[in-house]
Amino acid sequence: MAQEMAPEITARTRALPRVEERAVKIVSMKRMVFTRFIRHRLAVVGLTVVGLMCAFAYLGPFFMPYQPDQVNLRDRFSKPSLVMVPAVGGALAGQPALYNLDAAFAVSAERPLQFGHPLGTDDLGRDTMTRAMFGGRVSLGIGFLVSLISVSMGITAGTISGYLGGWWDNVLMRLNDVENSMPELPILMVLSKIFPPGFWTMCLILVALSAFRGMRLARAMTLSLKNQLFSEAARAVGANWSRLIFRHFVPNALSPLFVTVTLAAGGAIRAETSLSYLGLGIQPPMPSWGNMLSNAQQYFFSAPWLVFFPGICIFLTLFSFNLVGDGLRDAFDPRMTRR
Amino acid sequence: MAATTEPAQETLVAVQNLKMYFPIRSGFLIERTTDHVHAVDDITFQIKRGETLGLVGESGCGKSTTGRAILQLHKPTAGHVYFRGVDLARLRTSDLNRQRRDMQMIFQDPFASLDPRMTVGGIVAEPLEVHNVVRGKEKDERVREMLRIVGLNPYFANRYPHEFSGGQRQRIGVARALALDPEFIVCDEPISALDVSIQAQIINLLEELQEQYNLTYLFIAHDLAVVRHISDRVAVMYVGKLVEIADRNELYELPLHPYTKALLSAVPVPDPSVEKVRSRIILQGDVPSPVNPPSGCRFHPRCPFARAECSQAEPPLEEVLPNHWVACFFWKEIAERTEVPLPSPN
Repeated sequence: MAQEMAPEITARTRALPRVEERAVKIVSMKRMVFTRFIRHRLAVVGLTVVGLMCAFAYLGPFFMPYQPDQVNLRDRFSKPSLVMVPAVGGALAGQPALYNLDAAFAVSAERPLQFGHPLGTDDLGRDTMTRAMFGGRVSLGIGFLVSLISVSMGITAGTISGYLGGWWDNVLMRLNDVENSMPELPILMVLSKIFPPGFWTMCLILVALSAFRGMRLARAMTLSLKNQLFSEAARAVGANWSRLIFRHFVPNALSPLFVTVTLAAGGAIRAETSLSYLGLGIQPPMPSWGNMLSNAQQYFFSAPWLVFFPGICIFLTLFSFNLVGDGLRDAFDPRMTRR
Repeated sequence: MAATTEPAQETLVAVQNLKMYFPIRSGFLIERTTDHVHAVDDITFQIKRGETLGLVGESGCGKSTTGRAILQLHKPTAGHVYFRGVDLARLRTSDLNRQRRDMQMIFQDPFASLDPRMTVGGIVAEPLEVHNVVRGKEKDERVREMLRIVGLNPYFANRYPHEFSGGQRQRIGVARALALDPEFIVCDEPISALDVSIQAQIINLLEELQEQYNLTYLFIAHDLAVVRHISDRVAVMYVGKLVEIADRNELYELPLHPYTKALLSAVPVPDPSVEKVRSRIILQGDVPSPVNPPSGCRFHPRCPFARAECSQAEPPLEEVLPNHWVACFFWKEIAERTEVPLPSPN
């Protein structure tokens, strides 16, 4: 035991039995959180899927030869296929478009083999994959923007509300009760009827509604932290309110906040999708996963891929966000450490 | 009785008519104060520089509230707290924070009083940062020195509180309280959350530090043996009131207030033959609620010597013997009846 004893400590203290010191590596909180997260397999899978989805939505279009609103009436409802020989007019008029195997055999000088529609085409011959990519930009963009803005707004309001209490707290909480007691979807529908639909309107509406969740959480956290002994200790030392909030409350509230951000992202994507599905969100021809689904339902039996792929995108993204949130919650919980 | 024979010590903390009521609110939307918890009700005492005043009483009698009200962690409902002659209760927040440099607190629960997301170094450095005493390298050096003084390895500065045992954490709490080199420390049951073996370590540490840095303690506890060991004088509280203050040995050997008698008779004697014949005063009933304390003397419903007068008027805290203050009308008769030898008047 390499205990450095200060000269000030007298024999009396030194004679006391010392608590046995185990050599423990210094592990910073960040590092601990990181290792715990990495150990959570499903969360890592979730994070990977979210990452792939982002790459798909934001980088994918650079590799696609189609535009999201590029109409091709000859190639309507083409099945998912990697290669194709498109339908032609002119001398060879009447030749149908050929896909995959058929296409590979039908290659001729007049009809060269082309990159097909990996996820098929819709009723206007637009490429589903390209549209899914652009739809992903809308959905993921709304997810990230709305969760970040609404959570940070909610945290500010909730922290002030919890810290100050009094009439300001009362007003905010009654507003919160009002928001809580109204069904979400009808409000969203009314609001999107009132305001012109579009990406930014959607963001605004969703921020306004989901900010309350962050606010509730931040207020509850502040109320509980404010009454913890360590914040009383900080006050006894002479710490002012900004020190209390930024040095004590925020670091302690970080873990539930991260979780809320991920869950809010999932929630925003779900809300956007539901609205677009109902025709009140993102308006065609601008694609979003929701309105792609809504458009596809009438062709459910003749062109099931139109339903399948946007559906899979939504499902995978929401599921992954929840997994990440789950993993973050566990990672921030010190009791989850296994040494 | 060393304290009486020494030349008059300077008073460091003077508590005057301190009252701390907590409102009980009820009602929807519009909250109304329906009642008060009379946690501390009109108490007056002084703490001299360099001494340790022990404050004892049952749970919920207002001991901790008194300590917190002295440090202005609760704004007192009424009364004054003079620290070096300055009335803390009348200070603005900024002036108060300046005064806080010289008065610190050690908390009961070493698990809750340290921020779990701060390193030990950060916790000990916090007072230094708040008061902007030292910065940079000097600050780190001071933090390491503080850890060394309380008997911890300075290498621990990078660790988090959850990596320490209860006794070690309480040492961290002591280091934090000591960082600014204060004059006065309120020790709010600093050992009641610790194992008995660790308690001795912390008590010895506190005593040593007091000697070295000429500290003044208000030592709040309910362990009567520990209080006897560490205190110069002892004050006894019952439901928000001080019932007796005396020098340590006098209080333990010559308790005058019936409550003090009962309290002390509850301490077991580590000798079976004495314990067998020892008479205990067993109080009837429960501690009254501080929301609605009994009229007159607060102890009268449970006092074996109570008379009609006790429920009418409140006995004042009076100096009945030199440096021995008691709040009881009939202390003399009770002492005679229980055959306590009173010192002959000189």
